[in-house]
Amino acid sequence: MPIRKDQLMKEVYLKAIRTNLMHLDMPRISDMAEEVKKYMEHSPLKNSHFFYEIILNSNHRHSKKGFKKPVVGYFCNLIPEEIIYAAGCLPVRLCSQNDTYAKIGEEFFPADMCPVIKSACGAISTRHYENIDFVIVPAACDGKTKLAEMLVPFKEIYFLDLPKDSDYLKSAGIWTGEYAKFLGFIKNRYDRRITRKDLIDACTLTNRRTNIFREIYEFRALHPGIINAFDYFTMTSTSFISDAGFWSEHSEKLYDEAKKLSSHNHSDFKGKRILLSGSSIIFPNYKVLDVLDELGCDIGGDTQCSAYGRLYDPVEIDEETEEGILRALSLKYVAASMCPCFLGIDKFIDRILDLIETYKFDGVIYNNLRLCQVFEIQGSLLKHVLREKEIPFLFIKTDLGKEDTGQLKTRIEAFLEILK
Amino acid sequence: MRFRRISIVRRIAQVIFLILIIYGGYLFKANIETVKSDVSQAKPKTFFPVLKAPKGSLSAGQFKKGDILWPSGDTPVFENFPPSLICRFNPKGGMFKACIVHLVSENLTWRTNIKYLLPHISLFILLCFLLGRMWCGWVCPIGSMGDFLSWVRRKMDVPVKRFSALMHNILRSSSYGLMASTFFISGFIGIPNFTRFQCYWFLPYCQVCPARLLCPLFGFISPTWKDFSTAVSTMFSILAWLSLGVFIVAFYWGRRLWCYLCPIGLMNSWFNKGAGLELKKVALKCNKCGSCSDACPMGLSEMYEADKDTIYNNEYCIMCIRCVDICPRDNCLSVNFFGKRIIASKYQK
Amino acid sequence: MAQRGLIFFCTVSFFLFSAICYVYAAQEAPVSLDYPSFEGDFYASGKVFFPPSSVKSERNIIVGLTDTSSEIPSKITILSKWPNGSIQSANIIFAANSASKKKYVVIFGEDVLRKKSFTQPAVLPTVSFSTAGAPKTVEEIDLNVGQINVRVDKSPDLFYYWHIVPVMILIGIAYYRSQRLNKDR
Repeated sequence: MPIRKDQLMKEVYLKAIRTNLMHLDMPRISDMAEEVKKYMEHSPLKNSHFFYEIILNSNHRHSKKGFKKPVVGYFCNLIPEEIIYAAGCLPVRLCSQNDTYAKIGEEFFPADMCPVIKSACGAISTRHYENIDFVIVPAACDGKTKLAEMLVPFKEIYFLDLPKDSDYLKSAGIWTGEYAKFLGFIKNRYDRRITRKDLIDACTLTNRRTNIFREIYEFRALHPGIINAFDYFTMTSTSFISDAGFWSEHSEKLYDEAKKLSSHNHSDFKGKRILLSGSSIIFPNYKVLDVLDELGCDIGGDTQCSAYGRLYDPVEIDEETEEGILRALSLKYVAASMCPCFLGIDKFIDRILDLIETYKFDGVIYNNLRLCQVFEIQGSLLKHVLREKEIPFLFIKTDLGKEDTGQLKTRIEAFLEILK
Repeated sequence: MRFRRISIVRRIAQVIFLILIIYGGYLFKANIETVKSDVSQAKPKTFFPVLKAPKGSLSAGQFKKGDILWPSGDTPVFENFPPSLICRFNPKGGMFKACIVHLVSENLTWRTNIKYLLPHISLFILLCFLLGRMWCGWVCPIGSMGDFLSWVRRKMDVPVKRFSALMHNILRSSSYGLMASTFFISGFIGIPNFTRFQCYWFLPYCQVCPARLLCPLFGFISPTWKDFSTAVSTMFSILAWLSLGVFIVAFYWGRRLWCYLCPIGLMNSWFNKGAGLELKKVALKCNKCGSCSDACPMGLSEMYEADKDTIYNNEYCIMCIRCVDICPRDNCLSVNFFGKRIIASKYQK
Repeated sequence: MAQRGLIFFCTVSFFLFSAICYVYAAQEAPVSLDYPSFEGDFYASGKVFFPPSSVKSERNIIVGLTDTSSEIPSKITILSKWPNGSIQSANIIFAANSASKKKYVVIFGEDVLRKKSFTQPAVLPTVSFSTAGAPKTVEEIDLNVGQINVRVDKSPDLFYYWHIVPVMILIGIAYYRSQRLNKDR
């Protein structure tokens, strides 16, 4: 008899629940309330509290029963959210970096594996995501490809196949075809008519989010010390689970408050401004941010897929036909993507050099999650390039656990000495 | 739909030039009676001398009244000097011409002394040197009518067809062939012993040009759709229909595929590489999204592929500046005039 | 490869035909005819002188109307020739009507080809004409060669040919700029 995939995983899951997980002392998100309160007090802006409350409150709108719209989960930056908005659903990004969930995920995945994948697997198996209708997984890195198979018993999976060469000339037709298939799938599933006007309205919605994010990014680079790194990354982590219009409103309020604050007391921030690159930083993995904050630097900019890479590039629609809109979406998400799972290291290095030239950062710190090969290769190439250009660079390799905080602090302190 | 700042200006310019070219004769009140009387008194009205077709050089053919294609033997050539104006189509409106291909092929037939043609050619070269192929993107009425067809396609939700480099090369070679055969035929029928062919083969490209069939409709005049009186004119009628078909297909599915084939564009494109208007890219700021190549109506991808700072001027580029308009990276692409920056790309909210 | 061949062909044919047009060009002499007082048809007859080396045979001489392009049937009899064989003078007869006062012109040149043959069915009164009285402008001088006033364009060629200089300069600059662009790539 051939083995059935969903049965296989379900048995493993049930066995794990019965044997190990009963003993595991799982801190719930509400146990992190103490830490979060500390961040809230640390922040000079009142409007940032709204974002912290969303993060703390696991009973956020979408996870309550009876939430009107269907909720669609996805991974990575390569999925068109505009199609999901146009279909009347709420897109929720499921990438998480929670150490506890990673330990749960080790039941399914081997231990020596990307912690983000393990954490995602663990998260899906908990209660918080039972409201999600189906999950879209792109063929980004190896881990994500296998994640698509592992999650089959828990949720319905839609797999989006993308070629590895993210060259526009070769692959634009393939991307558009995949997105068109996805559009057909969603139309069938919810039995809705998605017109061109719906798609264009959805693009306007996400462009509003892009506009406010660009202003905040530029503001942070030029006026350090007002919106601190915790607020910034909490905001971007919140955008994973919030509706775009809802998020934009509150971000605009935060930006107005920050502008007022900066005009009153002109910035007297004396520390270093660092460009943080490499693997993404998602709540609650704020270890690196804690260390940098203690040492008095500000993270002036970043190139991470959870913040800059996700929200900076806009959709530029050239033709208003359906094929044209899908093509423009694929150009935003895939062609401009800096993810190292695709070919195109030169794109990434150009962006870093351009950011340093524009905003004059003091140094670059490359944060690599352990056991991610592609990010490590990218980081080593970046090291060679920046060494030639004589820009200070530090490569740190860390995990989700908090054990190596002391070591990190020593290394970064030494690095900051060089910056002088 | 977001309105982009340069494209709006360009659309307005296209509409204005279309109206001016087709109805401009009314504006300048130049009609055939005035010009005829001027010529018969041999008073040159302009600084440039008035060209005249020598008498007796056209053999007696059957000329229909009001037929725009067959001017009478002493129809003077009243030149308005912006080069490459599409030739007159509205006989009621009179003389507002002339297309550069019409200019060259007509004067090859009349065998005008080259000293009378030099002012026209020098003005043409001056404008092409300063502005490159901007005529094609901003002024040309064939392009304006074609862009209207493209708008119709977008409203009907038909996707655009992107053609390969092979097709572009084939069309480009065809345009050279078209131009070569036009000039050869025009010159041939001007040779003394062969003037008897003039009534059939006069202005060979003009007889098949799609604008000849479309522009008179603006003046509510019906163009000469078919002429089956002789074998040669039958051939030209069929070629004219074919050319209209190619025009419609090229503008409806490809966005500006016709511009690869057009001989007027060919003559303008020789100066594109050294022209004053240039497109420049700062390669460090590029995020390789490919929007510039996507937006290009000619389907060029040099802007996308360039990976060092280049001044870019392909001979096919019609200077529509859509790439600079759509680029979301600030100051990545820019339009320069002899080195001075005029417009740079900027993210518009 | 094919493109280059075609470009070469175009350039050559353009210059070749321009050169031909420099060599051959038709000239014309307007006819000054005093219309008689009686009504009806008549023949107009006159002796016309031609510049040397302008026409070689009577097939290159026609009479036309000023207003349209049509040729009037005419009979031409050669009277004398220049030493090199070209026609010096000829007698021209054509039919006219006193009611419609049309203007006529004698056209001659290597490219002119006479098509219509002249029949003289009836005996009609003959009125003589001359080819004098061409209008004068600044660019023309009247060259009195017997009975003919031929319009000769005496404006200096510099008036026309000065355009060559800026054209060559602009082409040179454009070529230089395009080569500089090619080096950049």
